[in-house]
Amino acid sequence: MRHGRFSVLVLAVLVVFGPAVVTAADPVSPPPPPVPRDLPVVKAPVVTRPMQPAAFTRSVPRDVSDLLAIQKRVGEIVKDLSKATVGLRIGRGAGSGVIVSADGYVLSAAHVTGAPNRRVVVFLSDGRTLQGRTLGLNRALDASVLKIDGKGPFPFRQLARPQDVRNGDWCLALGHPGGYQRTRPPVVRLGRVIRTESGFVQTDCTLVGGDSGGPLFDLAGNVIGIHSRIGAPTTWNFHVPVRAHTESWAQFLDGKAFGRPSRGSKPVLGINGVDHDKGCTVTDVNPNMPAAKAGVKTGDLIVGIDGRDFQGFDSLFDHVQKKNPGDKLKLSIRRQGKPVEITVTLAGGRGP
Amino acid sequence: MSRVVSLYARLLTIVLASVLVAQAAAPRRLPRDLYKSGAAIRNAFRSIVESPNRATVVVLVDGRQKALGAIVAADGWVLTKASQINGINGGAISCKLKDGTKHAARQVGFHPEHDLAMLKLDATGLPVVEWQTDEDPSVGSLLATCGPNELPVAVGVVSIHRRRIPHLFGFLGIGFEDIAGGARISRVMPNSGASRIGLKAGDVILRVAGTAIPRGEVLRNQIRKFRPGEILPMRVRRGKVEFDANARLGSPAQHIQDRSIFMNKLGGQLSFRRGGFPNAFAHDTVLKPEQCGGPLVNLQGRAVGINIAREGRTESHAIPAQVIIGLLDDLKSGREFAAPANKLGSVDPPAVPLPH
Repeated sequence: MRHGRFSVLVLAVLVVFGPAVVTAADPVSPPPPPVPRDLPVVKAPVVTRPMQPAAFTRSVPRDVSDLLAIQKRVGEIVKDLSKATVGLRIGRGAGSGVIVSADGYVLSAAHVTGAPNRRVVVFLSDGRTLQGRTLGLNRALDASVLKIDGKGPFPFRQLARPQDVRNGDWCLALGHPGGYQRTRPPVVRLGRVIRTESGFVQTDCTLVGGDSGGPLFDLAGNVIGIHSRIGAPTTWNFHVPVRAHTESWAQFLDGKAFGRPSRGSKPVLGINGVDHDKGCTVTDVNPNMPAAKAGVKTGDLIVGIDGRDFQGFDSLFDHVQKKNPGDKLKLSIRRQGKPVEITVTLAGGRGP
Repeated sequence: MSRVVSLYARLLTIVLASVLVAQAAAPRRLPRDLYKSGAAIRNAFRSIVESPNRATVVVLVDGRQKALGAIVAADGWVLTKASQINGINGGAISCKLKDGTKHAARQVGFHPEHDLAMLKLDATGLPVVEWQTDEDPSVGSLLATCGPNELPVAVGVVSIHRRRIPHLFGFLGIGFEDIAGGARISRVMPNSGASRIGLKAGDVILRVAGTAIPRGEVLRNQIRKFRPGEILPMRVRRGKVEFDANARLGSPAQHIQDRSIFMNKLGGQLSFRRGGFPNAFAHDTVLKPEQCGGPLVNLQGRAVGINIAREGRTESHAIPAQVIIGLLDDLKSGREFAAPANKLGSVDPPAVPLPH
């Protein structure tokens, strides 16, 4: 069927995927002479964060001079961060990545590379289009590594030590939202680290599809995380901490696929929402999840949890966190102005 | 059809963290007022926006905030985002200043391509925006979006240098198939521009904006010249009757249940007109559509641009100060600017009775 709707989609796909640049092997040339294999890099390129000026570490910028200092530092590093940030095309998918060594190792997300030993087209911000191959991936943490063909040297950034990453750190997210576009350099976003857990870093650097696999940098210009997933509020942006890559570095370079997405252990309600003065507004209800089964609908204004007032989607999140799968949760809802009480039995699922 | 959709859906995207989690430990989260646009951080911009906030107005239509605006001349000239106030038939426009005064406004100038409107208030001696016109702010520069309060509305950084922002296609809401001498409608989507004017499956589109439609591909290319919100003039045949029909095109986001559009809408509403700007830079400030139209300032408090659209979850667009300065006199004169695709950009569709 021909349809205006689909032509828009076709165009978007073309923009994202562009024409492939393929270097096919010449079938008649003799096999190349054996070359000694490089020893694999077994140590991830992690560095200690240098002492940061007080302007970067104060919880609140004291005055305009602190803001100017942050702006100056961002200006100094942003070009180099951009050079190390790459667009990726793997099969029909598009994502982002970051080069972390001069010989072309690239960090990305497991849901971007998908499997080991796949061909990758790598788009550098200087316009070069290169070939590469995926290496290992950890599906549990959404971390992966790939290698650009050849020896480089390529522009790269080093990794930050996990213990150097703290709540309140200023950070920069780069990537290719919507997929790589030839005329658009990596898109820069500034934010702060909101939460640091062993499995994820949360920031208010807004992310969207296509950013996946792209880097989160600290103001020293080191990589602290890889973009992984989002929630409805613009402050729900989750990154895989680079610890996920560094702790299993040898396995990644060996091309191992390991880790399984965890399931079932964490209580899940199955909604997305945005903040409201009186609670939160439901923006999406996941089908087949507890909230949907209990009759929660998109547009509902949740004004109470278990009989108590709350403010914002984060508070609802925190309340659910304290429960277990199988527990009941009473939601006081206003639907088109009318009060509705719904009791939801939480299911088990994955966290952010 | 499903093939194309599935191809696009397979674009590797961020996995939606739509689930709520629990761990026994209490969350160790940064307090909300310390977030990038939290109150404590915006407070650090207080002295920067003190003066430009006085030159910022809330633009109201029938008493409701539709946009922000920038006072560009002391004798009552206010620049704002046109599509936020256009299309609201007969609504009374007014502007509220930081000092609390409210002034009736009338629209004098309109630039369809930049989506800018020039309003005139009956006032003199107003504070005026001070422009930074020598060069655009570089990528990574801090920016504050002004509002008529003590603090900025929100803050962010430049994400992408200035460039042409691609045009978003208007959306008619039909499926069609080729027949001799036209394109026959096979399906009309509910709540679309096509359904609103009563087009039906079986109708044949003969011409669009005066161009004959020998086959469907031409129809698609013609529709693509129009943007969301614009009027698509068509010549249609139903049975043996021919008639003119004018449909207001919708935005694809209103109709397509696509994953990437879904994700872009996560976290807030987007501007209805958010593409097709000839010259704009992108920044990461999270804005609501009704917070566009006002000045965007650098750390010196000088306006580097006018916020023109909330484009997606990650991007807002601003028209650079240099471009704005070059348009002010023409906008004040009320000179008509050519709409980029056609001359019908802001006209309401004439009521055309359709045959049944």
